Amino acid sequence: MIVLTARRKACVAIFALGVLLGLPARASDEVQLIVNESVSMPASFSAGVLRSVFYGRMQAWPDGTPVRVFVLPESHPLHKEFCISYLKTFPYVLRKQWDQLTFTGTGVAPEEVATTYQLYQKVRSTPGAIGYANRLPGNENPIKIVGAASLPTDQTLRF
Amino acid sequence: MTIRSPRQSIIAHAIVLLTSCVLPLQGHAHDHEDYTLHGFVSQAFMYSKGNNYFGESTEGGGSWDFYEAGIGGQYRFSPAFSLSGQLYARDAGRGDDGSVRVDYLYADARFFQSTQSAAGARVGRIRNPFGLYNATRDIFFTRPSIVLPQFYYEGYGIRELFFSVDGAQLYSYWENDWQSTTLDLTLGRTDEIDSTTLNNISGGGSQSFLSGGDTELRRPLSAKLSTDLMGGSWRLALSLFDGMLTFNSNAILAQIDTTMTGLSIQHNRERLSYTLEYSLLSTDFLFSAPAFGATSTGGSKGESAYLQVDFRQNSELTWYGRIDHQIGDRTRPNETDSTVATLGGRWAPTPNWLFAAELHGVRGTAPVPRVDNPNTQIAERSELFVMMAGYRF
Repeated sequence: MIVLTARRKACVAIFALGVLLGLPARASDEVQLIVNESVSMPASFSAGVLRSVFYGRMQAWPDGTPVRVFVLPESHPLHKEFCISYLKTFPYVLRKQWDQLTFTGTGVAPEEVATTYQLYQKVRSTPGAIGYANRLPGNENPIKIVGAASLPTDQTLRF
Repeated sequence: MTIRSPRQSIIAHAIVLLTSCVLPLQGHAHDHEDYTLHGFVSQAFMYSKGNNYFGESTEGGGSWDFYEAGIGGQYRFSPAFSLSGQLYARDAGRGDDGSVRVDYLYADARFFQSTQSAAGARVGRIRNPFGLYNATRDIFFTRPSIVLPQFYYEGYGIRELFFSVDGAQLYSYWENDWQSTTLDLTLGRTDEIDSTTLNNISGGGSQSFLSGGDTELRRPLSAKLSTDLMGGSWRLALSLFDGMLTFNSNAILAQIDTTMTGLSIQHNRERLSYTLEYSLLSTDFLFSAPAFGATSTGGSKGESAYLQVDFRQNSELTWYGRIDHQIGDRTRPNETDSTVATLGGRWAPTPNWLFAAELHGVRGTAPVPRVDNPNTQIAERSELFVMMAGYRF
């Protein structure tokens, strides 16, 4: 008999919801979503919700925790892949949206970090954080949950 | 040459200095859990033939009399309540004097938030979101070019009237997998028009006519409905601005009711972007001088449209071309039309730095700032070369 921990149960539930509600199980061979373990995931984590988060429109998770988005520089190949595969947009379109938020004071642009490892560390250590990482071959999950319990250099991620 | 008071000059330079002090803060906006800070500074050089633009640009050495600087931020008390503000200084020939003003300052309360929609209200000084660029029209990094198309009414001096209001804004968005729709509704309070704005509207020569009375912009209303389709691949927007300008003295009552409607379409591809914006400006006026038993009414309609194509050669370098046409009065199209052709390039070597250069061929007098060409006949044709460098954090 397989005993599931609370975190694993959450992963399974998120995976099932993701598949059922439109988020492709594997939007990209290269990139995978990562979220901090504190995040109370929305009941329907669809592509629309993901866009709402990364475009800076959704500012709090359903339990009220502030959304904290971390991204790589615009020129980073993984960022390009994420924009095209998950958000169905181009990095420059996203940048314009963030500039609009910043310079009108109507929202908060994501925090930019230089490397995939820094991005992982930020998401792992920040409550309410979401970002993305390299996908390991064979890893089919749409979302990976990271947090204090995960290893400092997680074995299921590439940097 | 712009003349400004020593106090204005000190404050303007303080903003530039303050901006410089935080230059070492690398990155985009400076992020913390509870607040963000941002700033920008940009300086242009203009050289023209035919007419002056933003200073004495036809003189031998050109004009450096165009800069913009600002510093702002947002403090978040909670995800549902925040305070945002920006201080801003702009020098643009005789049209703007470099004085520091509060660009926007408002409290934002979001009273509804779900995973796919939200609604809230902003109260304070708010930017009018007209068209694709009005809300950030004075920031080099968010403009489609150094000099805006006529759609944004730079040359008319109307810019100050419809660019921000003291009032309240209701906003909302809702989205699903293929679209995101935003609605902003802004209601401003009646506000007195300052002498600089009047000077720009009247072209700098009619101050005496408008002095000795009160000039107000009454209850300006603006609304914008915009939809992004397929992740912003297509962007559509419908904008509306309505305001009544009144002048009231013992002898004269004048009212100008202005309604501006804008339609925006943008298509974004990996390397190419196409932007088309069209506006219809309807003006109805009433002029009354009871002492002389004189009353006059009338109105006019003007149109403006532009098409811009952007080509991204790579992530740092973008080339753009634009054709921009305006008809000041539809009943006299041949006498009131103007066309501006623009070719330019934009280079962003890092996210913090931006350099651009562009050439404008101008036919017609509407795009020419009258305040920069006092006491002279405005030439029918002019050519303008502009360069701008900017830094942001």
